[in-house]
Amino acid sequence: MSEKKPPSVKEIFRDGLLDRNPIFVQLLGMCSTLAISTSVLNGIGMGLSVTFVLILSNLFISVFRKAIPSKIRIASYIVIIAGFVTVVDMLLQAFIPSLASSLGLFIPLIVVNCLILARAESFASRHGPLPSLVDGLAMGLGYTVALVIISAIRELLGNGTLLGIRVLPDAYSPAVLVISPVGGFLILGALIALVEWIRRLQRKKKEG
Amino acid sequence: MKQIVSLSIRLALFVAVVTAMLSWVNILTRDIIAQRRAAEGEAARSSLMSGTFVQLDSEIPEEFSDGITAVYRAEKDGVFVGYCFDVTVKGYNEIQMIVGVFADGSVAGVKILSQTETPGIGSKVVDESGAYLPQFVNLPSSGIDSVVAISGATLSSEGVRDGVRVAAAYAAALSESEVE
Repeated sequence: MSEKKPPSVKEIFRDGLLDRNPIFVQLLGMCSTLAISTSVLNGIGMGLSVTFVLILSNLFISVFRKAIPSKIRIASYIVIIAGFVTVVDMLLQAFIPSLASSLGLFIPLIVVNCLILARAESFASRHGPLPSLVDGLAMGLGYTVALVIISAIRELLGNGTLLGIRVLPDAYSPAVLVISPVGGFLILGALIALVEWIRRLQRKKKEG
Repeated sequence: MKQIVSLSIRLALFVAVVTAMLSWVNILTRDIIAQRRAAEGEAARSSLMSGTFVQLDSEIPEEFSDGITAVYRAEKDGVFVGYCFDVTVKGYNEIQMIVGVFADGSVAGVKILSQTETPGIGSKVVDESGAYLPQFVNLPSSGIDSVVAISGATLSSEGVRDGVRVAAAYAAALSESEVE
């Protein structure tokens, strides 16, 4: 695997948060995104869990990238990722049980979140430990921010609450559609379009 | 051949390292998780009925074992108060709950231990301050069928109700054997 010159920290963060946002641009990990983005608390919890796994798996895969033969690299990545996900699962159950029970099955499913494998394959296996760690943080934050935006809209419109606190007046009758999977797709689609529009405006500005 | 062996050894090495890490974290968290679960269950049982609880170790008959995972018998000052059942049912997703049944066969109530019902829909069923669960408090066993489901959340409502029904039936069977 060819070693590339690492991008600057600013570039990495720009990629993670906007230009290559895992959810809005790369469309990675859609299954868990749609499933858990029904409340802001879930969004934050899931985002931070994925960030934790992403940082550690990126770091380890980068450190061992020369010891991992390319023929068995995917298997090795999955072993490392599954290990860290299980650690997160056990820690959440022990110390933040309420979050563990509301995220339920989706914590173990982080193993197959393609975002993590994608960063291992396309970044950590080609760059040194430090840039890889920063990349994990930036991509994880990009994922978290996107999740929080989606889940804030869904919780507000679908339940009239934010972080479990009633925000909209009682007279507002919650739109259950927004909470349902269909609503998740609609809102995600609208947000992807919005992000794409912003990126296009920026590109135009750059080109003058 | 040689290459396959060397690749296998290397992969096995990775697995061994990860396994070691996992067993270490497991040792750190195992007791905390078990303690927390036990305390949660105990608190839920105590809120349903007063008395001291003893877990029954007799095997659960097949007709009830699909759902009921554990039975606790409550006694206060030597008098039998009722049973609490750990019940796992299928709502929209899996719901783990405790169902209390008094000695006279009436339902003491339902406490939810863990659930992943859809927020805003199925969550109304498992919300303890909602419209559904309070219907089970001090409910005669004949009233289980007339509990009103939450509209739009039929699966979750029926799941909980079926769990209560199984618990009440098992409690009746247990009480019968106790009289003998």
